[in-house]
Amino acid sequence: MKALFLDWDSIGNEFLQAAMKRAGIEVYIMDFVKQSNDDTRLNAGLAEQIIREIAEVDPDFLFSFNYFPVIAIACKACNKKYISWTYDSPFVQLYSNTIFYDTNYVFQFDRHECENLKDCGVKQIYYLPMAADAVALGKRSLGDLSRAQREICHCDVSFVGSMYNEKNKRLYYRLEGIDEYLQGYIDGIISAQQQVYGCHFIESMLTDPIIEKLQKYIDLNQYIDGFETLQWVYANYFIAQEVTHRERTEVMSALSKELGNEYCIKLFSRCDPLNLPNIHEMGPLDYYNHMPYAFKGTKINLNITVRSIQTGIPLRAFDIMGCEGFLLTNFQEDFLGEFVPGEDFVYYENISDLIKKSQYYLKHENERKQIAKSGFEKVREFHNFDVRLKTMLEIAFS
Amino acid sequence: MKVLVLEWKSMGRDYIKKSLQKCGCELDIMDFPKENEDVSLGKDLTTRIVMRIVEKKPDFVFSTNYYPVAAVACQTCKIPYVAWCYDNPLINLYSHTIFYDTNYVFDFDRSECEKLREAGVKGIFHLPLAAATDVFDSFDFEGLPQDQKTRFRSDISFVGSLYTEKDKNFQHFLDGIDDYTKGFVDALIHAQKNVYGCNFLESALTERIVENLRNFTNISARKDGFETLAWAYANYILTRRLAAEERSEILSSLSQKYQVKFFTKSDTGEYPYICNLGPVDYHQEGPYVFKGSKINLNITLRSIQTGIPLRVFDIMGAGGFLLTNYQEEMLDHFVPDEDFVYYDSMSDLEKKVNYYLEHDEERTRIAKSGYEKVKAYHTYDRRIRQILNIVFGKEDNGGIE
Repeated sequence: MKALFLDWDSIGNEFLQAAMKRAGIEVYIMDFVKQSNDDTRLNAGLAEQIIREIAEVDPDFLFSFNYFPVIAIACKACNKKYISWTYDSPFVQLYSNTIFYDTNYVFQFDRHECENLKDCGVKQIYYLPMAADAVALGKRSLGDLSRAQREICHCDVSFVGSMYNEKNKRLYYRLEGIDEYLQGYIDGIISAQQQVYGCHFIESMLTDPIIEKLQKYIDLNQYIDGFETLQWVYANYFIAQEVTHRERTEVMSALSKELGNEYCIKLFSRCDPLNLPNIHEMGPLDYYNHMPYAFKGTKINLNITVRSIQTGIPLRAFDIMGCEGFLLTNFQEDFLGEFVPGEDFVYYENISDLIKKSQYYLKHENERKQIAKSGFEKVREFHNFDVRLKTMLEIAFS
Repeated sequence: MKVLVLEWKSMGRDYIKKSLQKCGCELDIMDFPKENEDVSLGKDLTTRIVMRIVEKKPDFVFSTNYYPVAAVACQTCKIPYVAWCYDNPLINLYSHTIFYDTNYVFDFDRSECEKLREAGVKGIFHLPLAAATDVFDSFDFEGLPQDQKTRFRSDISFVGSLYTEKDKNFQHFLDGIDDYTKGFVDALIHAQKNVYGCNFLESALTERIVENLRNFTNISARKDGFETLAWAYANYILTRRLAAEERSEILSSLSQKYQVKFFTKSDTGEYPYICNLGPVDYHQEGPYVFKGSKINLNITLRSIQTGIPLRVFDIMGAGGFLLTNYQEEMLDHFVPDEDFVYYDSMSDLEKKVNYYLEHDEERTRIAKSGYEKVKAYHTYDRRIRQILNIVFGKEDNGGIE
């Protein structure tokens, strides 16, 4: 079998390509270099390039991480199967009319998003959690590192991810200048949602009159090929991001205040400085070369999910568990379908619970290691790229 | 055993007195002037209670709800003060007197008990409310005169308040507040309205909003209390505004399709669809309403976080079919769809109303099963035995679970 792999700078490329080769698939790679403002939707020129490549390689299917309308169009034109696996959230291109093409096999890591699209009439969309190559990650050892590098990776509690505090990234800033009532209403939604996991109400709170008012200030345009609602866009891009920003910032200040005097807490992030007294801000980590060591060197690895992911397990969680790191995560429903809380991972329900559980597991090393080991073994066996590839191919070629 | 009962017009007071007597208590009744005297730290009233204790030498003092004056008097005389709370929110629970070791405070909302325990209160116990099934049994609906039967018979009924009365007029309480706060509060109330089983009205209030509310309202910290302002605003203002919105929406919407009778003191002028039958005497007429309705609604005031409101026990104890919002503690005592039915959204409520109006037999069976359980486990007699057990550590545990 031949695969045409549309390769952009995605996480997981090398793991999945290796899995394809192990499965005896000939992998042809086409650079799908996308700059942040490249048009990957109704871009005729790009579609033509893909079509030419298809004609040359004559693959059995095309693959990309995340879903791109332009690839769907090329595949539709050539009657080729397009397998995509989306792990970014929110990801507005899923709401392109091209998603209805019967050449698509859309795999989506967030069960809620998957159900939502099914309800919109998308037939060939399937829930597929992310994965980790635990075998490859297991070969990495802190002993590979120099002492100075090891120092960077060692700590008691760490979080790897954005704080969304950079001015150019934080969409909430675009709401500056909206009227006071609207400002209060949006802040009210944010504050309410911050208190609750497992029940998402941001979108349902954006009533038509509220959207109408927001549009007066922001005037979002819908894509020509898009069927996403304005509610969905405001909820997932603007407001969920702000909830995430505030939540992560509050977690960091709570850690600084409650645990920082006693324990070493690190934040690995590209974000603007938080300037909290007891948080070591380490800057960003390279996903392939450094991140696994950080997960291995940390006693408690936090996952604080972006709030646009309503039920799904973020990739970070798989990476942590695949490195045999101990995972302490916010509550996310999809975990319960794949793992056992308290056995493979631990979840918290609010910030004081997070602090309490961090303290507990810092003091109970054996229990912590046992949980990390159990999570690691489960990921190695059931959540590797070979298993996932098999699932995708079975569905696409059944 | 002798007990001084501080009596005011509380619900169920006669049932409680009867049960106390059944347990062998000799009652000394003292009128408790809660409407026109200072019941938090009034020295006069405290002195009068102390005098009465000295004169009659009771073994303990009892009141429904909790009053700091009584706690002070009992602490002075070193005798137990037994308070059974059925109102919520109850700001007096956050009086510093709550820490006295002579207190035995029973509250029906578990989350409230846990919160106070965490604050260091030792003498607080969780105790659900009760129903006087034996009294309700004597209410013969079929024996009522025709006009009364017509008044009390309905497909769907709700007994309660819309909180539109002048003294409780929290609907318009925030009129005139700054736009930012107004928007924030609107969002918070809309969010909470659609979520049951997780209460965030208090925790979601930001410092900025609390400050704005403090400047706007005249509610401020009390001398004697350790409640926070956020607690007071959330539980006294926001829950009532939420109840007004929630209840009027539910009643209006159901009224457009079904016969709904609303028994209330509240003015419902703003809601043309609601059929307002005026107030009922809760003790004398309430049981007839519950018996005469095919579906009795319970829409809990959201300050009650997990507990079972009195209305629920009265509906079930009268043999009425109960359709209630989701409330956590219901599941500790009753089985959903066997003893009662709950809803967890507006559309769920409409679906269930529709279903149970069409399934008479199932509805009757559920009502009967709920009634039997209340009669067996949730009577005033049983509760009073439980209380006396905890206070005096009797051998017979009265069936404490």
